[in-house]
Amino acid sequence: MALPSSAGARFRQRKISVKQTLQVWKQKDIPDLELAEQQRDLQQFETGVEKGEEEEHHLQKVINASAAKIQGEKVEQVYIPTPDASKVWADAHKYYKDGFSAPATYIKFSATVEDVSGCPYCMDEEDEKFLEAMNSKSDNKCTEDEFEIIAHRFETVVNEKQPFLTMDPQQILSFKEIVQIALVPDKSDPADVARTLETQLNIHPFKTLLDAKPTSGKQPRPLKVLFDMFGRKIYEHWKARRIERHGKPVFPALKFEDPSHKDDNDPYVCFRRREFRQARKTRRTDTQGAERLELFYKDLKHARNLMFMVAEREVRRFEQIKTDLEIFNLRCETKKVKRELGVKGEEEDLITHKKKRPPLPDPEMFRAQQMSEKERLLNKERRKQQIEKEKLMATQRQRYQKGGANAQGPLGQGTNPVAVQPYVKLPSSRIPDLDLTTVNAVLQDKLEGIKKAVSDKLVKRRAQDEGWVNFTDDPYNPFFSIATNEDEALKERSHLPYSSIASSLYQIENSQETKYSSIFSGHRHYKDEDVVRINASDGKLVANDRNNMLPEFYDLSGQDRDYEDTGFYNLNNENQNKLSVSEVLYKLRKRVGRYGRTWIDRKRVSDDHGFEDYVDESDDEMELESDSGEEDTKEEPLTPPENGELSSRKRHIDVYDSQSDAKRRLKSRFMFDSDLPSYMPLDPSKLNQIGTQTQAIRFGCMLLTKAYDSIHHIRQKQIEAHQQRILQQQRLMQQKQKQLANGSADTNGSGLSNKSGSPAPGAAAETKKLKT
Amino acid sequence: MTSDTETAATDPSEAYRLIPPEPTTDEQFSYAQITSGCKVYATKDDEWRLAEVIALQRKKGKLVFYVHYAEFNKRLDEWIDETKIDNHRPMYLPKPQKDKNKKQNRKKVIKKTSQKADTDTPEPQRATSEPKDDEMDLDNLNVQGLVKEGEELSREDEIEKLRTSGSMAQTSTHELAKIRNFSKVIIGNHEVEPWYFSPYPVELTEEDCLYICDFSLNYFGSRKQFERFRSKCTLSHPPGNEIYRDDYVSFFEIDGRKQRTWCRNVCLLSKLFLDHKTLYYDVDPFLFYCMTRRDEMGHHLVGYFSKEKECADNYNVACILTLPQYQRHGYGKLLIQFSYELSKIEGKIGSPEKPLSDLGLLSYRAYWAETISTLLIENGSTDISIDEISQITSMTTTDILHTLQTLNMLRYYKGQHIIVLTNQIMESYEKLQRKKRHKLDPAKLVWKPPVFTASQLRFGW
Repeated sequence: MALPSSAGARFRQRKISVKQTLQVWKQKDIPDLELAEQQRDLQQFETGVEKGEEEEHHLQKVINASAAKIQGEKVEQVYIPTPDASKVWADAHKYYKDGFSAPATYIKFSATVEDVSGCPYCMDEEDEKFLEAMNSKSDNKCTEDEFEIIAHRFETVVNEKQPFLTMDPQQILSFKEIVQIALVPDKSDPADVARTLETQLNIHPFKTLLDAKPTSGKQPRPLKVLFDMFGRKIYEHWKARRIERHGKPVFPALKFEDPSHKDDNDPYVCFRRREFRQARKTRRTDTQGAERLELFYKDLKHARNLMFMVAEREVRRFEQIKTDLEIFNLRCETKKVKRELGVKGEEEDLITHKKKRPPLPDPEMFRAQQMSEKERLLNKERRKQQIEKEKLMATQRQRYQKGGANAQGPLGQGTNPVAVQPYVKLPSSRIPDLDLTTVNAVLQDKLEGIKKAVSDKLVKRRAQDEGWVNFTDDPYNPFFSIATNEDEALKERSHLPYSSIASSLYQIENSQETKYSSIFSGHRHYKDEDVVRINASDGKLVANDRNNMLPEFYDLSGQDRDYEDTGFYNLNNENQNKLSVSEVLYKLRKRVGRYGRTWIDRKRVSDDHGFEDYVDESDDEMELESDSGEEDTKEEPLTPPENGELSSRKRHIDVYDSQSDAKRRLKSRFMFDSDLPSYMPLDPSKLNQIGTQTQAIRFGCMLLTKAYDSIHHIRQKQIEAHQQRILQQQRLMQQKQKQLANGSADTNGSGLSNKSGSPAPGAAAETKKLKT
Repeated sequence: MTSDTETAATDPSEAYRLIPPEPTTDEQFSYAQITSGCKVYATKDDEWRLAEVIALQRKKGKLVFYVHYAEFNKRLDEWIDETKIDNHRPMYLPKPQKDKNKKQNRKKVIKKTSQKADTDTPEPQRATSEPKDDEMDLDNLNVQGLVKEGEELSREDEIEKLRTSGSMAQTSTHELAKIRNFSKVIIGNHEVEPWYFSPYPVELTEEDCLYICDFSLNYFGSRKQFERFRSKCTLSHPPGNEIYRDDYVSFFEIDGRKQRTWCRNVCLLSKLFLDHKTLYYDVDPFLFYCMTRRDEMGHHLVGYFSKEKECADNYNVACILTLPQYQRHGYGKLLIQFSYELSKIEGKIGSPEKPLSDLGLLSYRAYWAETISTLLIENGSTDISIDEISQITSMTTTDILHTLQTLNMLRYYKGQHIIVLTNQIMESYEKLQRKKRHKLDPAKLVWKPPVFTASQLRFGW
């Protein structure tokens, strides 16, 4: 250590800043530099060599020599003497062979020493002597490779099964025991991996570039065969050696630390494991550890599977290359023939053109695979659903593009086949290079999406209705009542025999929206013959002529001559037999009369009286008696029905020449409609002043809620039933227990059971009395 | 300050013994009296030297002694028979061991020095200004990481340091480890005499010769085994990625964790030639950079250095070795240059882990001197700061200052420090230019500093 040697040293700045710029001079340029001044400091600083060695003779000699050299003295080169290393081993060429050629690129290598050095057991002179003796006795020669394979297997089995063999070497496993274990594949053994690959991939033998070649030029025979042939003999030899080694492996290995017996002082113990300073062991760390192990195991398993798959792929690839070559050769021959025949063709034909590679699987999938099994399954399901949905969407879209072309036409945008651009939030630094879309396009997409959803629902609905026939062929068209909100008189709406559900088919079939009809065209679930029609006016069967049925047309503009008075076609003019599409609205009521008789009252919905002033009210009201035909005048201020009248009033039943209906329409028109209607009011959606899509959605929602309600109802009932059953069971149990208790009581005093049983007969007697 | 050191050479009371006294006519002792720990005068290279007997054995009825010559490196320790020992000169018996006292003494010393440090250091601070971070005291250039006297670690502390830091240096304490345990090693086509103890399996020490495979570095005591192994082994280069190649040498990078067997083998082999190397803990925390020469058999290992994957002390080399059969060919300088090239890519400055061996020190000094003088001369004598030199060369400022001082280049001239390119430096520079020694081409180094995750850097089990 260079201590401040004298006070004289203080004259000079002894500190130096590393940041300070220093002038660099050549010695010859500053001749006035004192040389002597520096001398005293020389050799006084630390060298970095250990103190004891710093003083060593040879090192000092060299240091001094170089110091002298710096002073400009001539000195001989001095070396530190080292033991001899100059001798050449003449036999080396026997063990090292030529044949290495450096690849053009830098070597990349990750195989371990174990991977590239074949069977880890290397026989020595003693083994050699034994093997020679053994082979001289029989014609069936055991090669050195084979000997090593057998001996190695003995070693690994015993090392694994008897780690404490050194305690008593005589306990060593017998040949039989070893063979039993040895033939079970050892999964940790790289040789076994090769064997597994061999059987799984059906490649014999499975060899890599790194694998050692069999030294005898012959492939070693399978382990089982070897055990049968030489096992016992080699076992005896090996056992003797192992016992001689006091149970330690035949060949010495490095001494590692024995965790139970730490010895810091044995210089032969090396490469100890670094231990973690274990934080306190808790249940949590334990479970964490277990989890980590589990994960690790899964990862390893996964990696192993992957490797197998890679191997398999490579095998396939190899096969493919072989076939490609075959094809090429065949083509070459064909070419020859072609040339001979003078047929000219492209040279290109010789090559098998590579098929385009299918796109790589979604990285999502890959990630999903890495997730735990459970999640993976879940994800898969989700994905499946998604795919199905996508498929459905795709077919729908196609259908739309076909069928909806004319419908979409007027909008002018056309159907944009480009996929809907998702809304992606990008970092502000990156300007998206997506094409910007117009609002119209976005709206269009949105609209299309809604339409898709609707049609999906309809398709689903149709699937549900598969096999069912809807006989409500001419359902009520909720045309009449929707516009009239003044139906105060209609007190019990639940009695309405019609519902808008029933009208769905009608609506769809008569819809102006061609896309719906296109969906349903040819998809009716019944044939025309299946439908029986009854003329509502006379109760007779009507010939089933679908084409005869006309939807109602209502020209509110009143331009057509036929519409002049009512705004309706005068259907009466054309054909009396024409089917009525709808009927007059009746109010029905169910009531229980005397002696448990049920009545259904029917009443025509009364008209608005205020409006009657304007249009002549001439409608009748009638009541239909259900069972007995009796009337109840007290409760209903209606005129009693006359049986004969029914037929005479058919004219009124027919909606299309019903004055009251016309009047009501007029009234509703007066109240709600503008003079220049912009729509054909056939569609319920339009009547409701909402879009067709919204209507359909509402309709769909209603179906869903209904379905849900019914399910809920059923479920509720089930629960109730279940609860009751449980209650009953409980009651039974209680009774049983009681009986048991009673039974035990009986052994003491038997009078109790009689008492408990007695009230029942008494009660029965009482009821009897009452009856009489 | 030091009365506690164990070596005779540094003990002032024994210093006079180094000069052999004139032999007397009478025998001063009989050979049978010699025990381990005795110091006798033995002949070595035609001169009489004080030698400490470390062990003795009976070979073929004759006593042989394992001796360590005073002031000689341990690598020159050897077995000698009694004919080489002069019993006409005195024999010094070992001092009775006072282990307990010693330990107490040591503790006292530590206390003393720490007290001293407390009281001593403020004084010069008063005299000068407050030391800044970038300022260095030229009188106290402490070599980083070197154990100072009186601050020796206890064995437990040392092992703890090994465990946590992954250091490769350790002073062996065991008696057995003081004795070279192999007499001949055959590597490739070279027969080499080992220098130091190495913990190859103890059974192999009975063999005449240790056969080491030139590529896998596997070791065998039996020739047949070696033959069998060689016939199976397909390795022809260190089992890692080649990161440098020119027409003279190649470098391979090998991860101690991935190539445990190979790296253990390399450590065992190098322990034969490195005294202050420890194999106490496993090789996982190190990367091994192996220099090879190529021929038609493959890449032969010439030398290597190991480097911690993550070093808290900013060492860029843990152990460095040129195999003896390749020494004095300039390979050491290539290894050192390579270690600094790696540091340059990492953008770090670095220094080798201490202690250095004598040969290591000389190699490093030569490299440092050459690098700095070449830089300064080729820089055209423009002004430069130590820090700038450090940035360019990846050498630590301490190493640079050291080198400048040993080369007598740092002078005080007209009130400021200057760097002087002495005539001798210019001379040796020109000589070097004429010699055209092989130098590595940094452009051929294809390497990215490997990145390890935190869990990869935990080396426990």
